[in-house]
Amino acid sequence: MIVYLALRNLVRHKKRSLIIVLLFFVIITLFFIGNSTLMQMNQGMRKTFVENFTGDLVLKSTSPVDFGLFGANTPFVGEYFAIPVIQNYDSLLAELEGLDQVEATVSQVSGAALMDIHNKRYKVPLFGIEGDEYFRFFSNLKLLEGDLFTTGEEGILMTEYRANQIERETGLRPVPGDPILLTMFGNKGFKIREVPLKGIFSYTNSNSSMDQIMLVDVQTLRALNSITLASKKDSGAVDDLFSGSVDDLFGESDVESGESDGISAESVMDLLSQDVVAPEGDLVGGGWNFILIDLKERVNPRSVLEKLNSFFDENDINAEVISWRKAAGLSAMMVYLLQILYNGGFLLVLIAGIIAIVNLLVISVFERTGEIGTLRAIGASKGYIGGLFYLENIILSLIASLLALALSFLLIRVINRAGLTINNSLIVSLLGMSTVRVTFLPLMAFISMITSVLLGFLSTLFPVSLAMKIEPVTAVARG
Amino acid sequence: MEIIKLTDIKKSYPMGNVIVNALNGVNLSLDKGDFVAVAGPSGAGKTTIMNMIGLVDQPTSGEVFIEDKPVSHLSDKERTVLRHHYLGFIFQSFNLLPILNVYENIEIPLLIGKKYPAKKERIEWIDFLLDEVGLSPWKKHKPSELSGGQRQRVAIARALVTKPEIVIADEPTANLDSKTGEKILNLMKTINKEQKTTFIFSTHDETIKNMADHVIYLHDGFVVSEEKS
Ligand SMILES: Nc1ncnc2c1ncn2[C@@H]1O[C@H](COP(=O)(O)OP(=O)(O)OP(=O)(O)O)[C@@H](O)[C@H]1O
Ligand SMILES: [Mg+2]
Repeated sequence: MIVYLALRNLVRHKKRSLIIVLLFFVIITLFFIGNSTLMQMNQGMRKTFVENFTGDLVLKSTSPVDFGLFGANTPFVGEYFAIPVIQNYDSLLAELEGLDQVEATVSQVSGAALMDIHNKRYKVPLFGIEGDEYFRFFSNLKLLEGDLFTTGEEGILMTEYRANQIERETGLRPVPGDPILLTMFGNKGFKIREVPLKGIFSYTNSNSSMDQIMLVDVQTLRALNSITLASKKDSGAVDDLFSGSVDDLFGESDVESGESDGISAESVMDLLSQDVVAPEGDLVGGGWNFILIDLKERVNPRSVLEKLNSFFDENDINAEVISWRKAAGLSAMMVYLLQILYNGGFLLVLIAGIIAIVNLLVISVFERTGEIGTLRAIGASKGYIGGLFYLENIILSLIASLLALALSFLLIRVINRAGLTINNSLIVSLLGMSTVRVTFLPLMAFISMITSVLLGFLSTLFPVSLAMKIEPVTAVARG
Repeated sequence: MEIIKLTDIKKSYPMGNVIVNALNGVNLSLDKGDFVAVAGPSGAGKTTIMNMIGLVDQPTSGEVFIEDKPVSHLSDKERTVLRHHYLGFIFQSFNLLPILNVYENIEIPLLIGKKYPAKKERIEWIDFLLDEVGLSPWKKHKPSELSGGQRQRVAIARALVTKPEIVIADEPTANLDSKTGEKILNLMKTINKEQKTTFIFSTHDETIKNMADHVIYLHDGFVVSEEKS
């Protein structure tokens, strides 16, 4: 009966009911569409990042500085921060590859350098890798021109995007074989290396921060980073990895920092010729910043991450595993920023909407004072009056949320039918796809329904408190 | 048998910085099954005293007894239960719910409690009451489609639907012409005799008060005289 009474009340005040439904409808539609899109973006971005350059998880050395594949995640610290190498690399790698959940691993050194090409200078993030292994790990990467550098061979790869950029800015298209000069400023001054451009590649659904990445052979990057490698005779002594000599094994040219301003690419060319590359046989393991981990399907990355980290913790091993998101660092913040921005805007709409609804309900309580008093006089409890108002408003919010979900469902079908293609690379990388295919997320629909009931309840709290204060005696006074 | 007793009931309303004394110490005793009229000029305190008996308002001092039980300082919950099961109300301006039809308006007191009679039982009883107040053909009509007298009949049926011991009616005929008012009072009197329900109504109409077994005259918040027949 209370439901019947609630429904009759709603029908009687059609106009007010419609306005309240409309307000709830706007709120729930925004909530559902916005959060569905953000959830999808999050998943899309995850796919883009995991399959192009982060892997599911990343193992790195522990450090007081929060860092990822692009270096320190804190701005300003970045410039002066040297990413630590993984200690006990060999045993950790063996440990990881022995895990059932792990499909594959690949290792990486990271750094940032100035790149000179065709008399233009670019600041570039460098990933030091072993070409063939890295490309086997990331099957999403496509080599468009040239070749990969094989293990032990020097060389660098750039993205098609970067090649286009250089062509646009210098008029000369970089081609395999072009010499590229890399300059890095470290604690001990400049290090400069010249490497040949080996090839041009592309990512799938890339974004602008990924397109900056240059893939360089690992020996070159180690040299630029001043990473010394343990030689065969003391390979067991992990503690020695960073010890003593600042002159690295490669003995390449250092340029003192005092001359930093006047340096030009040509003036140090002759110094480069003095480089002595250590014979490969002397190098064993180590000298890596990161191990990227690809997990088998259906393995929960979170649980592997937690297990490994607590294992490292308990055994005092200086290593930690981070998620793809942390590994990508600031470049993965985009969706978070969007989420914050969106939810900020949503919050404003929500507050305005709720205030309007509360207002309408308060007016309704005042209009119905006599009626409420009569019900109280003939024996309705305060709880009954409260229940009636809650019920009325929750019915409205449920109707609104069903309408909102139905409309969203139709909208999604229309969008998918239309098969829109996106040209904006940022959106492509956020969604992880270039043709818009939106999915109706049942979980989000469920959350939206719950939210609408909650909003219906919350917006009735204050009006109900007024309604419950109405004394039965008002029935006599007001009629 | 005494059903209601009022002992030294006072009620004052603060109006700005003056205090209006609506009742100045009323002592009353009403018998079960009586047809009681509370009479007096405007402002005498009739409505105030009906509100005390009907448990919709509380006295400033004094006590109301229903069947020897003090009730005026019970909690809101307990008074609500008493109003629901023990008392019936007829209002001056009818107070029907405009969203419900005649049948539903009569039915509602049965449905606002924690448990209620089965549907079949309800239908039988409400049909009987509809017949009693002569509104059977109007069962499905909305209050807005009825005349004042018809509306007050609906209100009478509603007041009786929970089979209360006492029905309280504050000026039930004030919004009706005198002929209709008389008919309504006759109906109430018939039910009073048939169902043994105690009726207490207030009025300032001389002819109507004469139908009562027991008339209480109020003036300025005092009982000035009583008449029993
Ligand atoms: N809520 C209130 N606030 C202030 N004063 C009140 C209130 N209710 C009643 N009074 C005062 O109490 C006195 C008695 O009022 P009451 O309504 O009981 O009289 P009444 O006999 O019912 O009059 P009427 O025939 O006009 O209905 C009056 O002086 C009135 O002004
Ligand atoms: Mg009155």
